[in-house]
Amino acid sequence: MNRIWKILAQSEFHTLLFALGLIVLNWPFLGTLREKPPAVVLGTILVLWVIAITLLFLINRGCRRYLRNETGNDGKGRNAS
Amino acid sequence: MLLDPRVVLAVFCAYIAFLFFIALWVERQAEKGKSPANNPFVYSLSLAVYCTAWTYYGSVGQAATSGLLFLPMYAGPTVAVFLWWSVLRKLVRLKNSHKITSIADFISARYNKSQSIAALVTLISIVGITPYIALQLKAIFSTFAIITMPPLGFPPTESLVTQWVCRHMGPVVVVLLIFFTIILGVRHLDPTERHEGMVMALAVECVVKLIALLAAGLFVTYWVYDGFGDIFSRLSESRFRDILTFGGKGSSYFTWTSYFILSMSAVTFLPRQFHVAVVENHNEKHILTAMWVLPLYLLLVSIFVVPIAVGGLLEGHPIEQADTFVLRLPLYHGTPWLSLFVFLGGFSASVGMVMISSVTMATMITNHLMHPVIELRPQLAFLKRHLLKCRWAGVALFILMGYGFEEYVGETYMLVNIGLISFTAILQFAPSILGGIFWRRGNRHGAQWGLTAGFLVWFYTLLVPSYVRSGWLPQSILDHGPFGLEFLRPEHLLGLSGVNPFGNAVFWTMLVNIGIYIFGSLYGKEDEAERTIAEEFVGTLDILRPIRRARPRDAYIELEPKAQEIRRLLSLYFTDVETGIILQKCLQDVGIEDGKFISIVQLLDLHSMVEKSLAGAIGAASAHRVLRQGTIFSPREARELAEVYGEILAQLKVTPGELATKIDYYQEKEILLTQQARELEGKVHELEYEISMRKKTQEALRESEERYRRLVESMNEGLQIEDESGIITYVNDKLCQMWGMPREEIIGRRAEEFIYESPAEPLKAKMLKRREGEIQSFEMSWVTRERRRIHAVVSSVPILTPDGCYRGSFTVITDISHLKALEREKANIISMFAHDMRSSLSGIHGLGLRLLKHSQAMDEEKRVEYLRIINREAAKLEALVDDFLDFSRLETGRLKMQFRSTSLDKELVELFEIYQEKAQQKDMCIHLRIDQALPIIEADVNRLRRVFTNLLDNALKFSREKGNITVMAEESKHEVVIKVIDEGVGIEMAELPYIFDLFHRGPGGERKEGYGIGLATVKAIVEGHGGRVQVESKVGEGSVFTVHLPTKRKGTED
Repeated sequence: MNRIWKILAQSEFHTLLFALGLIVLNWPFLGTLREKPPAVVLGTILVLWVIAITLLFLINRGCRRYLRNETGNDGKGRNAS
Repeated sequence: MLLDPRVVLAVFCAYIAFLFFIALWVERQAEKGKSPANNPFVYSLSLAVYCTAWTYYGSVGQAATSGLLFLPMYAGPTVAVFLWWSVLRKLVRLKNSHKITSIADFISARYNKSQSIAALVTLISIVGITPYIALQLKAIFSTFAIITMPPLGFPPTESLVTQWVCRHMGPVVVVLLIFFTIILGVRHLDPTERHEGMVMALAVECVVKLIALLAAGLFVTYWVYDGFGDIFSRLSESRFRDILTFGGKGSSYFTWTSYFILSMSAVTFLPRQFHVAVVENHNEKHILTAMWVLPLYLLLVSIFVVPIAVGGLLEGHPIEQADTFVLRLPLYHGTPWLSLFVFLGGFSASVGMVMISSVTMATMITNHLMHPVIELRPQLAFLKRHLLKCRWAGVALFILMGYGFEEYVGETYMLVNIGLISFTAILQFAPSILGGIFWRRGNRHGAQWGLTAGFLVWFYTLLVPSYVRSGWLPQSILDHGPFGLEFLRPEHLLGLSGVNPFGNAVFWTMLVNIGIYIFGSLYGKEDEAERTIAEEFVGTLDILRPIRRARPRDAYIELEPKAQEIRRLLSLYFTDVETGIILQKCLQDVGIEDGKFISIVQLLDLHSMVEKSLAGAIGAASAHRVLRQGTIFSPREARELAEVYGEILAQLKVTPGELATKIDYYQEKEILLTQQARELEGKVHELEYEISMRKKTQEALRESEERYRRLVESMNEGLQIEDESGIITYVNDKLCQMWGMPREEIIGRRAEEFIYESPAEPLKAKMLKRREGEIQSFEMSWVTRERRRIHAVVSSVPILTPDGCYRGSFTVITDISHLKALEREKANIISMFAHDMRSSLSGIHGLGLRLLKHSQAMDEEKRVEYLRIINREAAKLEALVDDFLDFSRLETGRLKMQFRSTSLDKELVELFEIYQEKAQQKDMCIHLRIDQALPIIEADVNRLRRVFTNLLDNALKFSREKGNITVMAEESKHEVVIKVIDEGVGIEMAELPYIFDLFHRGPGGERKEGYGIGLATVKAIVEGHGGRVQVESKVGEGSVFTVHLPTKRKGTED
């Protein structure tokens, strides 16, 4: 499990998800929905969106955990000057 | 049903006042260091200022006209935030280190603090954001009109005030917006450009607009229709059924992707977004929360866009009104208060955007346009003293520009198009920013040229068409290109067709901007300072960002001649041996002891090491002078050294003078720190010594305490310590036994509480005397909880402070109950003895008188009998007197022994024979077990016989009928052990310690025969022989008396 959290905190993994997001929410992936009814199109995009939000939430947790381990900080973070 | 304009205006003002008070409260809290705006959710919600009136109203219009093309505006940011932990965090960290106040400031800072780039970014922002402000104003005006003005065919309202408000809606709203923006965001100057109150107001606005939009969506979906299913089924049967088909009319993939790119850029690089996300950020970790809260917000905002758009179309509203379906549908279905709430939500969206954008733009205008002009024109220098007022003017100017745009151009565009124009303008910043933080080679030339080119292409492809549509330029430019050059048609540049104008603009602006940025960066040379900045910007997230060292130099300098020169200089002050050692150490420290050639940097290090070594002997100043006199550096090396210093100076970005000042400062600081360190070191040694001494003292104290504790606990006396109020604070084990209570029950109480049947008053009086410092010693008795009477001698010593204050007492209690009992026994025995003597003497006396008076008449038999009785009584008296002589000798320790060689076997056998008869009379059985011949010992035979007769008498006395008595004797090491074992009643454990005491007769002694002398005599005789006697017993099982007699007496040993 720790390994998963560590991956979630890596910027390379964020970049991968960014690229995946670009692909699945653009052509050619969305081309597969061309002839589908509006409810299906909207439903598909909604599901992808919810997955993205879930992943972002997990990234948030992973990064906080990673920072806590790295700095011994309790999660209060680096305050701006 | 319409609303009174005055009511709407009042709600409008009340809402702004509400926001103002929230902002004020937050600022007050922030001054106390408890800013509510320093919260990840406030930060995340304030980022939702991305959703302006354009989103609020325009998305529905977009959905009605272009189907799903509204979605990329929400989905794009969701995908973009995946990179925020890398990108936005970098921006925030750089903002903190460079005190950045705006996006123009950021781009300028990255590209060598270029004023021209800052001015260019500000200009692009003004031109790009002004239409966006216009959009917000347009939304406010049009929605205000919708909820207050009656539709055509209905009579207008007759109130003059209402008519005036409706006629002058634009100026009224603009003035109010300027006023509220100034009091919310620019009341005072803040060097960090943080506006915590305004951020909180933004967050509240974002919540209001979300709730209003969800309320409108729920109303349309579930009140007007029967849910999503109903809407989609009706849509599939209507003439609008193709509108939402993906990839259909007006929603080509190219356009979709263009919108996607625009929104991804806008969510971070719009000046207001940059301000909220970067400048207003308190804590980098807030970004992590925003990364999931913002996409969730966008999802919620967009979830009812399609139902509202489809609902409006299905109801037969004209598609031109689609931008305002969200407001019109509740209004037409008779819920004006919901419409007012929706209006308030839309107003929140607009006001939030206008406030934050105008504040940001005012900062950029004053810092990057006005300030450079002031620097150029000295006659404008007075403006420096009026910066705040200049900001106010900037806010007013910017909002008025937006109002002007709305008045003259805005009518020709739908809301969504105005927003996209702005987004495309702001997209021009993306290459410079992203290149600036990820590409080290990106430089000022590339940024300046790329920005300019991108901005010009944007102007040509998007703004020129809007001017054409406003009638300021001929239509032929759009249709046939300028001067009839078709390939220059703004919306189809170079013949690009099949894409909408925004797709065309995004494609060409990015191509030109990125291309020229890269080319310009590669073509134009950056200086060292810019390289350093680039290094810092690109590597700002590195955990350890090493300071770049001077570039490595060639090792061409021969080491040996330098070593010779150093040796020569050192030998002026040291012996040859010392010189060799110092030089070798310096070479080792620099790491060149095995080298033949060294670089200039290594030579410098060596020089420094030698100077330090020499300074230890002759002082720093002299060492420096000596080395300067030497010829360690040749002219060429000195020149190269200057180059090295030049590089270092360039990296440090300080002038030589500043460097010298700093070095002086740090040298002084180093000296002070060294002195301080030495002093501290001395103090540390002192402290260490003190600590070790204290530890030793503590250890000794602890040992002493332990010793005294053991002593006190092993005392045969009870010990008690009381505090000044008489509360017992300590008791030892013995006292616990005396009280018959556990320690826990005694500590914390007063002694009087557990003394029963003892007169309390005299005791209290004695206790009181202790307070006066008197040592009290007295006898007292009490009955314990177990009903046991204790007689004790109490000695109480008061504990006094040096000034005589009573602080408690220290009491020793000696249990004398046993002594008291012995005294009583002694008195009883003497009484018995007197009685026995008197009886015998009376008998002798009576019989003697009778013999004297009647001897003639008395027959011989009678006389002999009388004489026998007299003899027996006299013998009894003699025995009594013997006993008492022994008692007297025992008491005074004058028991004399007459030792001679004695055979114990013989004596024991004789006694056995005598007692066997006695035992048989009592129906008991006696056994003698002597397994081996006993040695002849020196003993007083008569007394020793008395020992065994006493023991055997006792055994007979206390044994039960048919009981066994065993006498065992054996030789052990240097002694003979004789045991008398009976199976009698046994002795209580509590009695055992006293059983050999004189006159002790055990419990109920007064009812027993004898005087309590027997066992005391046994003990005295055995001890007189140098031996010892022991007893073991169990009640009901019997007793074992063991006599140990030494085989040789002390003083007669060989």
